[in-house]
Amino acid sequence: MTTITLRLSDLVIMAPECILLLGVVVLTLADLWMKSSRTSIGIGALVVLCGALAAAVVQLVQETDATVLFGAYEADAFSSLCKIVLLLAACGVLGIAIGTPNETHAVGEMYTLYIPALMGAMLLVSSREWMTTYVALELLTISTIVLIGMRRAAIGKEAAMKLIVLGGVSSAFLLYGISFLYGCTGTTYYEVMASRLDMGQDASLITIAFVMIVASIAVKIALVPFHAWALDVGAGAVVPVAAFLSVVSKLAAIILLWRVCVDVLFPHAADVVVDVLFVLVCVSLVVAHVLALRQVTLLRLFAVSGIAHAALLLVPLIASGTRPDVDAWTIWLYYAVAYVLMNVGAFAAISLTHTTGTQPHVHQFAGLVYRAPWTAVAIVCIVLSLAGLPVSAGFFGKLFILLDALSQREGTAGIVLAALIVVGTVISFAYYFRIVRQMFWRPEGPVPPSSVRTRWFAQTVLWGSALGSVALGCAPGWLMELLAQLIAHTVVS
Amino acid sequence: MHALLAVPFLGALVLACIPSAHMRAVRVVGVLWCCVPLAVAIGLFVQDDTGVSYTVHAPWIAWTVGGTAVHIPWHVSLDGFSMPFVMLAAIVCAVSGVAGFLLTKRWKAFYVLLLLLTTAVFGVFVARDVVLFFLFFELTLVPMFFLIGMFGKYGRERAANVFLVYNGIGSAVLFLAVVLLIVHAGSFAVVGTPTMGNSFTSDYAVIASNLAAMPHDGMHTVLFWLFFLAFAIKLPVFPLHTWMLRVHGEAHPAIVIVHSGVLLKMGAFGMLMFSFVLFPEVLRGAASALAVGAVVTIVVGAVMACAQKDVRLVFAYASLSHMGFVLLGMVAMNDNGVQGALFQLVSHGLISALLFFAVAVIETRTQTSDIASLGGLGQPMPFASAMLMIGALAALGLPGLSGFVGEWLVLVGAYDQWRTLTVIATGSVVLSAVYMLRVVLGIVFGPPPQKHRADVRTIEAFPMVFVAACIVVLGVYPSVLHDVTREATKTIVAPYEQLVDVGGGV
Repeated sequence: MTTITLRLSDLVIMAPECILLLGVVVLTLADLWMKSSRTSIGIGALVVLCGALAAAVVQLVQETDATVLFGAYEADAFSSLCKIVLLLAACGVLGIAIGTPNETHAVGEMYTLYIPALMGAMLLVSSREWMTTYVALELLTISTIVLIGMRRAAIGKEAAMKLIVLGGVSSAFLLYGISFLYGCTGTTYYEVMASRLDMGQDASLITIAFVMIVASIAVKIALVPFHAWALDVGAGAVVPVAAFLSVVSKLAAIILLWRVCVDVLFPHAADVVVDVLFVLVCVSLVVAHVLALRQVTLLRLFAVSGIAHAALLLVPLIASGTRPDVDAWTIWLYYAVAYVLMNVGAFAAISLTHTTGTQPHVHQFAGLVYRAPWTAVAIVCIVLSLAGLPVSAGFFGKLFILLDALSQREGTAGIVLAALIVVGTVISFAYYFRIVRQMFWRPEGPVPPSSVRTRWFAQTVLWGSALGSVALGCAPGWLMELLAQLIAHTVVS
Repeated sequence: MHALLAVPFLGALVLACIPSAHMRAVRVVGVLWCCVPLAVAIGLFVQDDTGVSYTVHAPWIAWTVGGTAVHIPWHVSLDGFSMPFVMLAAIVCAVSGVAGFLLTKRWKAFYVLLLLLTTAVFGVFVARDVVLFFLFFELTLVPMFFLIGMFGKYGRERAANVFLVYNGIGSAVLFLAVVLLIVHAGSFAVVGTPTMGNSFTSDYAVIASNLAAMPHDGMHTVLFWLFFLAFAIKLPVFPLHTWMLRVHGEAHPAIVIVHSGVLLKMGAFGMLMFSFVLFPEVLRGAASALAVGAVVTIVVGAVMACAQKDVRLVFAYASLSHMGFVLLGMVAMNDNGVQGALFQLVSHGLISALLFFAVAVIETRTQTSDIASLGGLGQPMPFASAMLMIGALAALGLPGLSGFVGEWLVLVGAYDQWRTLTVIATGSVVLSAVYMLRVVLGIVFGPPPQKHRADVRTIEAFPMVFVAACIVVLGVYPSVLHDVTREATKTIVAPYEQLVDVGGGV
């Protein structure tokens, strides 16, 4: 038994997470000792995120490809890219949070708690070992539970409670599944486990374990039929936390599923796992859109529509039926970027027009074009991207995913996926354009609107997402080429 | 040629920057800017009226990873096939821009959206790349949705929603078809690499030549019908036409001018370019069924038009009927049929623009489009009445005006293959006289109205005269258009005729 030592050089490899850890400690102490204003803590958190972002970018540029702790943690190009996406999303969420009227018990924690949650998400990306994965997952979940529960209104407590129960159950299933695999192989490292698993000997045991793992992660992603909690929890959180749940948590869970599938599950039971995921994705694509049609509360609406996007993000994983190729990874990353842009933008829009003390409702957009015409234009760009209309990142993301699904998979499976995506897109027009209708064709409501124009942080986030979406729609090839180059050598090996 | 795309887009940007408080400036700049693309299009037309194409082919989006390369080139081309459509679009958009003067509010939004729409429409007609085509096709959806929903009568929002849902379904089907097409027939050899088959392109020319070389299989049939369905909603073909009635009935006439004048034509353009040209073998099997569909559309449109009480709905059903003629000409797939269909498209675009401009003029003065409450406008509004009359006569196919030439060519083209159907279609021409004259008689003649009705202003008269002149010129001297489309029609028809020759006739 070797003693595990963590050297300084190892910490450098883990720099993005380490910066976050340091930052959260400093910020928490600063919050306690200094009578600093709320906003300055928020800006401090933003600075910490930018530091971590810089570290991740440096790692990406230097083509860091190293493992720490006997391979439990790996920093390669793909994980760096994922971290950059997560960090950018978190920056957007913080931008929304800064300047949002406080609806919670907390002051500084409202900002500092995002950081450990994000750290959990980033560890998930890099983890190559089950226990690390589990700890990272719990770090993410527990931090978000606190974030949700801090809301003053009772609905927040209820949502936190639901997440505790459901998160706990799904974690239990995950651990149960892991324990089977550990029993078969005697290891918790992905790579070693994959090489030791023997389908000839323990086929049924392994299959059960795999299905349990997939199901528990599906709960985290909120794929149908494990989706019910997502609506209530999404609606119970305050707007920035709901944004965090819908973007960062969801993406992290999807990345986890990719990682686990590619490293452990696919080499042994690709057919079973792909079949299970295929059913989940198909059902999610249909049900999520239909459910979304019935929602008028914005947070519920975006919680459901997020499920549909998540299902879309899983299509490249299962399109080939075996280990996804470089194309699939690239397309996945492209749509992940598009998803971050459109969803962060959408939540920024919700936050901007939201009147404190009410549930965000689609009526809050009424007559926005008369008050703030340019903001309305930016929101239209976001809606176009969400609905997958040109010229937007969402459009090309969908196009790439469809192309991939149809070219990879012969026969009906690809066509079924493509047809469902397309049908879902049409249904989604109906509910996304409700927002547009409110903005342009409805008079302003009786409720005095919040000041839209003076909220600079949220405005910056909104415009950043809107322009980013349009820019990616105008020149999608640029990002695709860049991503493909960056991850080519990592994924192939 | 890129000026065609750049000018209206720039205009939209410039207009967006003018504060909407400066109403006069917005209107003047808007109207003038709508006319610039027309000038550009006329310039291109005059420079080169033989139909030789301007083409730009440049790499646009491409990514290569592993063994697979996907190329989406920026391939735009202005040839004899797209030239008439581009000219039509330029004229109709300019006319619509002038008709925007009759709006009562929100001019800025109108002109910005109209110019965006114009950009997208030009894009649709010049794109020679499947993805690019789809992109522009979708782009027309959004401005049109806003235009319908923002301006018009009480039911405009519902009309906009119905428009979005129907066309959304069409776009979705098109999306699926486009992706399937690329995957099925887009493979090509990248220069410098020996492997063939795992590189894909969305270039129309490559796909067309690949398809021609491929043996016919089930996928071709699927693709043909997917494309047909997508564009049949747009054209529209009975029974997929209900959305178009709402738009005609509820939206502001200035918007109906663009909608009926250009957007419906995109359906025909796409159907010809994708369904019929790419899959001649499938068309051959389906031609008779489609011809029946076309004639049903013609007859239903004509009969329904006779029964309407609202001028707009009469014209809407008339459009349906005329689009049936276009479909008939296209499925005939011979020189006369396709030439006739193209001619009919241009001619109908102009006639629609004229008729709805007249409706706009009349509606702004009387606040109604109900035939029964109008009447006797010939005396107080002689000019508008005359224009309405010219439009109506052209629509019913009076020789000497443009409507006649198109319908005649289509009927000649179809007669060889389906005699009975052609005779039935010809019968509907009689009906068209019934419904058009009923409208004209009801509005122009009869006892003059009690209230004072002012005749047209100069700004209103100008576009009407221009369009009417175009209609007359096309009717008297059809070669203006024929010379442009002749060569293009030959290339369109060639694969089908070859097929028919080999197979020994239909």
